[in-house]
Amino acid sequence: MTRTQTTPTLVTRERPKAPASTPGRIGESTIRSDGVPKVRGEFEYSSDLWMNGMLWGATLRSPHPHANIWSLDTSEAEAMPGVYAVLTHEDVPGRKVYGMEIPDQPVLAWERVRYQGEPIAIVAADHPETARRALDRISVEYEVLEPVTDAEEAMSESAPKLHLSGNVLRHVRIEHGDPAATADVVVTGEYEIGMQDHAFLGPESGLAVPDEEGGVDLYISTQWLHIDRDQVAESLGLDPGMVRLTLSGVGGAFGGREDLSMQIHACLLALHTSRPVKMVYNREESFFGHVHRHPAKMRYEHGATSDGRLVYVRARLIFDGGAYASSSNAVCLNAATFACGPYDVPHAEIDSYMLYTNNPPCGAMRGFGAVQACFAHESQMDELAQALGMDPVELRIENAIEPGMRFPFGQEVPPPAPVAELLERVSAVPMPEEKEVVGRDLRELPGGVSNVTHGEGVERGVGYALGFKNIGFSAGFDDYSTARVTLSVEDDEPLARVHTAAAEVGQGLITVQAQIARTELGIEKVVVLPADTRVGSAGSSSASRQTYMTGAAVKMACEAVREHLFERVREEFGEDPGDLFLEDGRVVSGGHGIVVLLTELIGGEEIEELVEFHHKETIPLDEKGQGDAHVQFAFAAHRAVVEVDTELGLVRVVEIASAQDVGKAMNPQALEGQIEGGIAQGLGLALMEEIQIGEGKVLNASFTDYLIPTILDMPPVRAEILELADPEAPYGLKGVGEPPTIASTPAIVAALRDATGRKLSRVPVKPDQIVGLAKKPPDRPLQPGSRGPQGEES
Amino acid sequence: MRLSCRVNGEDRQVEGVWEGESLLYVLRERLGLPGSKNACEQGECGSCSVYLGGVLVCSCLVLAGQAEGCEILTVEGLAEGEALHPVQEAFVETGAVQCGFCTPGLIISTHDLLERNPDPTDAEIREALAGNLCRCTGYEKILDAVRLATIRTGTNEDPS
Amino acid sequence: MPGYHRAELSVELKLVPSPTGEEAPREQVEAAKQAASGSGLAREAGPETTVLAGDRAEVLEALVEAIRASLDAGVRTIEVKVEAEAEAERFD
Repeated sequence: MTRTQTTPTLVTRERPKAPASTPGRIGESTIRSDGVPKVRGEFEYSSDLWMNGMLWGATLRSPHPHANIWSLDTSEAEAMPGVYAVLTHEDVPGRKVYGMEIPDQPVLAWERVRYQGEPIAIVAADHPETARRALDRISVEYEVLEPVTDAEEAMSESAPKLHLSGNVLRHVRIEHGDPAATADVVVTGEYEIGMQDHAFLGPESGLAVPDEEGGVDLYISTQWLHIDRDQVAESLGLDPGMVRLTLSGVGGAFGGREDLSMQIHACLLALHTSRPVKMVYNREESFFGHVHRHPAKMRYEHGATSDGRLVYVRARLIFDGGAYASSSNAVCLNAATFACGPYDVPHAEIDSYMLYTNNPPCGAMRGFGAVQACFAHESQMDELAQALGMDPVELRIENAIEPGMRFPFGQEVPPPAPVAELLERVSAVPMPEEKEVVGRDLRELPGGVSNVTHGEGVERGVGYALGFKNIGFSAGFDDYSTARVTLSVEDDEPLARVHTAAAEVGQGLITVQAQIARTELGIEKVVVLPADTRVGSAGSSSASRQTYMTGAAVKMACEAVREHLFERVREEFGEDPGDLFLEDGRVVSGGHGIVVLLTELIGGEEIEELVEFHHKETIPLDEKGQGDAHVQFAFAAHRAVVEVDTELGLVRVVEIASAQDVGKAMNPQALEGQIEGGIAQGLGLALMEEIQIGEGKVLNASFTDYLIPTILDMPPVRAEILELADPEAPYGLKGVGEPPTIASTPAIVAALRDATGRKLSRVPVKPDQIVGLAKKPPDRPLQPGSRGPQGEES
Repeated sequence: MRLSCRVNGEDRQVEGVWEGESLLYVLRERLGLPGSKNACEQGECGSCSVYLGGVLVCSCLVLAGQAEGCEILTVEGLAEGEALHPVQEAFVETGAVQCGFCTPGLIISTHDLLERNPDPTDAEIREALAGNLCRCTGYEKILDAVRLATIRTGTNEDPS
Repeated sequence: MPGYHRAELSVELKLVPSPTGEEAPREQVEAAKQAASGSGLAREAGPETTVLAGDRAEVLEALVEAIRASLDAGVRTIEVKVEAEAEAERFD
């Protein structure tokens, strides 16, 4: 289905620039080395890539959430001037499906589409508009089928089976203690969370450049180059060595770039046309081009003694995984393990279900299962406090989990786990000043300059929440990162080159790598080379793991370089390596002072070390949901202060205070940025962010209708950073990216409840819920821990 | 069609522009100036902000033809040689840049704010930048950046 | 957390429907796929392709069932590709 063209002479792309930087040492706030090109507009993002003779790719997507495809005719599109290729599933030479955990997602759909926006055909043309018009000329004959749009309905026997393996993608059950435990005080609740989008600003995009031997170079924004490469190679039917990936500038990720989007498509088109092919989604397409955060329905029952000790938690969590598996398996496990919160819970019975439906596929997003569970368990803790007549902070502190105790999934809580301390700290942050509402600047009132209240009906509320998250990949995955460090002399100065495949997605990873190399080697200048597949895998920039994993790999590679230098000093100068250290470009002996300059010791050589760092072993959960599944745990406590216009349901968040346990603040400025940015996403989920779905179709695929917090919505953040070293982690650090997103949502909702006295069991909280116009959740009897997908509730 | 305009102080002419192209597309794909960003192409996020004839616009909402004969200033035209504009400097120093995709638009918008109001209050900063979405920072450090830029560009003395 | 685990054993079944069968080719394939789905190990991997993935013993057992069901559905030729988990390191 390809028109043959004269192959233009291919220009090899220059590799991205990697300037030398002089970062601070670890623990110092240091300016990011990509900051200057980013403010000048010179940093090259994946949508900025350009090559002479390149073509534009475009994707035909299903308008229906569930349909059979009876025929597909591309001939008219192919005949259009300026169109170079129109490809369908028949043109996928290798594996026709992909997926990180379960390869169940078609590269291009064949006989059936399972969600609105599923790719069916791809086009390469000489202009994006030509490509778009060519899509209109592809005729597809659909038989529209009834979509399965409700996760609970997907469980029922009568629901159409969306995949051969059935609609239940995964069920994780945790049994802990006595399932028949009873308690003095019992509270039940049903909670719901809408579908959140990552809304990263840089759309899915990249450039595929064919080589002359049947291979391809892909310049791409992603979170994990090697898993992309393996999936791309598999579908292209190529040896992985023939598919080379280079990280291009990434405009945010938050989990939304873990799955493939246009990677295989661009490579297919490039190989078919023998031309470079660029694909860039627009915002609407981006909403269809990546997975979202799982919507969930969660039913909980908490039992406690009359003096406020938790006795049991029973929970049934139902996640809508959408049409394909993505990383839903792991989300289902995570949610189950975090379902009870960071509390000492003697007895627990948790069922976590992940369902296939015809809704948009859901997968990884910052917080990964812990976000949903946290909203529910924290809402329950507030309910329980109310039932007990206790202060919600006191109840949480009373039940806070501590090192040496066991989580309900059996793993011992490793130190440090300063749960109570974080809550105490956040409570001790001075309250924001409460200005007289009457006569205030309108911009400081709910509704702002919309001029809706001048102070009438405005109530203030305060809420607290605790959250936690596993850092790193879990449940038996042998996760690792690779780093190559080379030390040489350039311009009469020692220079370290750090090469990893770790994805800088905005978090500041290249800066922290440079800080580590500078600290470990006692030198000034470091170059962090562009991330690509010429070096071994670094694993994913997700699960808050990359500073831990790649940080540790860079540290170990530097240590290996250092050992090499010290061995040489021992040979040449007879110094005891145990007595040596590196400082200011010199080898220094504790006893004898400066031994030799690094420039002299190294001369014209390059000292290179390549290492792999693996974290400690984890194990999958057993049939009772027990096991040492996670590597590390990070905790955060939040306090939200809100003001609500109780007549119109409008909200102004006044302030968020946060206390987070970070182990070691590697770059305090960047770390604060993670906390503030994570809280903003939690605020968005609490108040405004939801992909609206009607009959399986997305109703708000734009920034006009999918709202994310603006600078007017975000309050000041007061962040307390607690540095208690984790003895097992490099520098004692803990991952920091996710915890801020987890507890901020329930803290804000708790504050809204405090201000309004309403239950508010669904996020995002809408004005009609606040003023009491919303329908109440259906009054169904609670069936915690019911034993099968066909639970008795229906 | 042919388009002639003056971009960042330089006369530029491009041939073969399709009539439906936006100014953003022409800047990014035809003039080699991808600094203005394509985050939403719906006029909602401010990432493509440029000056057109001295007026702050979302270049995704401007048809290329409207720029005929006009003066355009993009983020690439703010620095003088190696020296960053004080607004750019402030964004780097305060940690207001993470992924950086919103940064060019925010820098142009901040530049415009300070032209109009050399000493804005926090409320005025928030109002002026409410059309620029950022997904990474939570805006706290962006406020810091604008406050610092205000000091650096204004008649105010740097208190530090 | 993407876990790019390969199953211990993967079997790819490519079904070639009989043009002279009672059912239309697409229906033959559909019937065979649905029959193969009983094991819980099956997933679609192309218009005529089904993959069974899992532990060695369960896959081998399901394979015989799947072939039997496919033949019953009218399919006359089945290409089978068996792949044991690759020994090699993945992301090298």
